[in-house]
Amino acid sequence: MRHSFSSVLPESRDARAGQAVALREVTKVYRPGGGAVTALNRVTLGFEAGTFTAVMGPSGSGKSTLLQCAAGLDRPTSGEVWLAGQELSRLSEAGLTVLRRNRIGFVFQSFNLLPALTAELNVALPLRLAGRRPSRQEIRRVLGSVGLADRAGHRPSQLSGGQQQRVAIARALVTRPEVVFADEPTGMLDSASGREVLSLLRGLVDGHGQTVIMVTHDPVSASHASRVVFLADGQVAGELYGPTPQSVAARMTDLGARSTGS
Amino acid sequence: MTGLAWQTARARATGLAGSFIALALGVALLAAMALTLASTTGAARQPRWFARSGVVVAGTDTVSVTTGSGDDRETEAVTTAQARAVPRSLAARLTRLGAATVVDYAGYASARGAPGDTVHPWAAAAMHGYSWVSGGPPTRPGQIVLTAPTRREPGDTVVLQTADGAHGFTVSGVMRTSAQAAFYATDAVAARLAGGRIDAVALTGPPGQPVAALAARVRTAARGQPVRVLTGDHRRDAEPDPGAGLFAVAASLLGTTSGLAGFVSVFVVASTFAYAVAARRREFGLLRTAGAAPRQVRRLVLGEALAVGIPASAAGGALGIVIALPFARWLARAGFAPAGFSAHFILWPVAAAFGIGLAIALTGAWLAARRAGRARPAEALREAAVDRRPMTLSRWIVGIAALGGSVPLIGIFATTRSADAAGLIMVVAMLLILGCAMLAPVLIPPLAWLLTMPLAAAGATGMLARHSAVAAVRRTAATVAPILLTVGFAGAMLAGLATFSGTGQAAAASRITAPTIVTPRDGAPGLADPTVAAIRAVPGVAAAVPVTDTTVYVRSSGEPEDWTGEYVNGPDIARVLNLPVVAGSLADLVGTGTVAVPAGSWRLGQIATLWLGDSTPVRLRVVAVLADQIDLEQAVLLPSALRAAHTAVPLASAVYLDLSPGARLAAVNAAAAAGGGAVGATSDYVTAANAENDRINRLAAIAVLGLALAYTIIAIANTLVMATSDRRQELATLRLSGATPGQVLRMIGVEACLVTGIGTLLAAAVTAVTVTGLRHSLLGLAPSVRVVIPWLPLAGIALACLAIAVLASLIPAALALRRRPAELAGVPE
Repeated sequence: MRHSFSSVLPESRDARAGQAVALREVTKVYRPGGGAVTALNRVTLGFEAGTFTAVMGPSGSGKSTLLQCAAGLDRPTSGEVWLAGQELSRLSEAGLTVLRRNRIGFVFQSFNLLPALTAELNVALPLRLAGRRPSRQEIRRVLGSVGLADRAGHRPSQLSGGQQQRVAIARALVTRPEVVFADEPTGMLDSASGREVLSLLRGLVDGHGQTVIMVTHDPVSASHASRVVFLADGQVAGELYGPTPQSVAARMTDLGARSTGS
Repeated sequence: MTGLAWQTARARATGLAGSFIALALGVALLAAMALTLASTTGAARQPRWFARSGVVVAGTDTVSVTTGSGDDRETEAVTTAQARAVPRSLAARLTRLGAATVVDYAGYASARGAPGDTVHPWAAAAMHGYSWVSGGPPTRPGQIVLTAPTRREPGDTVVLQTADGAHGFTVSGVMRTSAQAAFYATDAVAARLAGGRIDAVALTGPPGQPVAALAARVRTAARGQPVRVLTGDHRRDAEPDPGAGLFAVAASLLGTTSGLAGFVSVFVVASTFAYAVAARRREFGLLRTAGAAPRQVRRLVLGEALAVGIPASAAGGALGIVIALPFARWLARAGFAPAGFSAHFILWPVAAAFGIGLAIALTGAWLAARRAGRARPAEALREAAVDRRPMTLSRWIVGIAALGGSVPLIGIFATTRSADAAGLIMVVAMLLILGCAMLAPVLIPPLAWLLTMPLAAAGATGMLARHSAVAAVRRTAATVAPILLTVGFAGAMLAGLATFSGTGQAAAASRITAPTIVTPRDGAPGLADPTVAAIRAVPGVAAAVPVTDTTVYVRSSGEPEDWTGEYVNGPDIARVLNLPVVAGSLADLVGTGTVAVPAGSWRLGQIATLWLGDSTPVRLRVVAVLADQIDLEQAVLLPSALRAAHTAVPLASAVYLDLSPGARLAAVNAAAAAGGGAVGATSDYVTAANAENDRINRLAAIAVLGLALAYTIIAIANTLVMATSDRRQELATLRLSGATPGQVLRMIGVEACLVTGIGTLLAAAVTAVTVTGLRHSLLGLAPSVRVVIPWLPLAGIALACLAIAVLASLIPAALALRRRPAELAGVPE
């Protein structure tokens, strides 16, 4: 028999207000070609404001789908997603776009930056798309907070992978979002650059009270977070507070054995 | 990685389709033009008029110039518009050879309601089969036979306009024949109406005797005489052929059209194939990473180009044949080719188009593949959307050479005849456009900044459009190129030709000082001498000065060149025409041994050797030299007394009138009308003639530009679809950065407008340079130069390019945006 851990969420709005993001009975079914693939199966999960959470699981566990649904990049088949006090299924595509601009920051594994624009312009892009004109000092400050103020005028092709990801984070931050979602941000990076990026994210949470939700498959990356949520077969399969690389790795092995076993 | 491969495969499909379309249409264009051009060499034609005669003797009609000696001997020959008369003495000798002989006269004759423009002796009817519709042959001098179809019947009276004036005849019969339509009178009347000028002598031996024997005897009798002895299908050469001149016109027009079609096809095909390869840099980088050598990458590219090229060229060849037929028919309808001209299938032009198209495609692909293969794999894998070194050394060299090469050509405008002006303007435009296209990566950034200045201040769309156009400058250059081709050629040729002809027209019009002019009506070739005399006899007519247009041939650098000739009466001409004379006097242009020439050809007092319109060589003394002006550059004035013996149509092309205040206009009109002419104000005539000229120029411009521009406009759409499809990732990133689909489409639309704007600006520069150069060259040659820029058609063409560009980029972008942005960006699941 398998334990299904689902976090118990207080039903009251007050308690939900303390959560930056909340998923309630979220299900996502894909229909590629013939059959149906259930990526998420009635997932109920909450993320406290001001925390750094890592979502982990073996491949095919649905972690990227979870992130995309939570960030409004995709619509769940059923269930509710609450972000910044709004229920996302009630928003139109335009409304979601506005949300993406103002309240959410997103960092992908790659293809974050427009190759034709300099770092400075890339960071300013979301604001300009929203119709605002950010000042150059503001942009420089944000770039400075990721340590790249001196590379403002360089194009992505002139930056290393780690530097590109840091610019992407700066761009995610410039709109002062409620939540920063990161999908395998260090997947394409070497360990040194990866560590840079992770400590940057950690610093955002500790120093600025930012909420960060990160998807990863790497136990070392996950250990930078304060909480790790494990997914397996589209369901929450456990949580771990105060993770270390070893405890995370042990849990992962455990999960792996269980899913092949039963 | 699977996301990457999927992306490149999808991109490749668009690239392959784009290359296929560009090549197929290019080959179709080339094949259609080449086929139509090849069809102008007429098929073998059988004699109609001389069908039943064995041997035909007619005057020579060629002018030839032989240069060099020994092995280097070269002869250039030109067929003249008219043939010489057959000498009377020779005709008499031939009649005594013992064969059935017909002496054929072909005087000018024209009547309302009956076809034909010559009057022949009745004996000529024996040379071709005929049958009677009604009535019979002419038996009395006042009778005439008409050719069907006509509504006239035997017994009707018909007024025949002839070189001898207007005469009334009674119809004795109407005949039907497969030969050319003509009038037949009694032999004596026909001879008189032709002024005694023998057109041809036809001999027929007794049945059973081989023609060759008779021909040999005729040749012996005609030795040393300026005649041709014709048998078999060559007999057709002695028959009137109004279509022959038009074939030459069609051939020269098609030459220009083919040149333009060739340039445009090569340009578009080469750049499309090169772009398609360059866009796959990432894929080739992967191949190199997997261990492929540069040579293997090149071979792969060539193989693919061949796989696309062969079916595309074949399809293009077939399409070209289909296009050639309606194009040839349109040419005939527009009057640039003989009626009934049509393109027929000849293998070699189609095969040549096939071969050229394929070769260009392979060359374009190979050049791009060389560059792709040379790049280090890591370089190729890095983001390919930003071009680091778009300008190569070869681009610099070709670009500057092309721009520089246009300068001396512009200088040549000064000495170009109007017939060659179109070709020269086109070559200058080609060089300028090639130069701009090669230097585009250097020219685009400043132009992009300039054009987006008002926009970039406002929202994100302008800033994004500007930066992506400048960063991916090679892609922008590839999309600007077809727009530059379209608007550039349209602008340079339409404005250049309009300026050239406008200046020529203005100069010619300024020559005429006579306020009134009599011109032939209804397309008749001219007005007879008795008609001119009748007009002159009306009280109040101070002067009636006839002028006859003709062609003369002048030896120029080893070949005979056709110039314009005017038969005028020297002393009278100065009263009605203002001709700038720099030496001598036109009053001396009398008799049969004088000539007036333009400056730069012969000097005053020299003996000028030239050939008249019927190929007779003459030696004339220069009595006047005219200034070197645009409309006088290749024109000579001949004394009117020389006309009679050297033309079959001794009519005045126009009569200039000088009327004193008391002139009786009604009488003048009547005298003119009786001879088939109409009186009018010179200004009206000039306006009407200019309008007709403009109409013909417009049609010629359509003939030359029409299909080529249709191809370049399709290339605009093709290139933009290819380029936009390559940007799927970029668009997805933009969406993920927070752009709404509307904003993304707006950015694409703004960029399309930007690209069109850059192309149009460069095209405007090309047009300006061409027209300015033209103006400078013409300034010395004409009293005034009017720069004419046909704004309306040019604006229409530019707007069409804009609409196509915007649609061709928005539609693929909109289709790409329908997917979820995360899926587009290739985020793995």
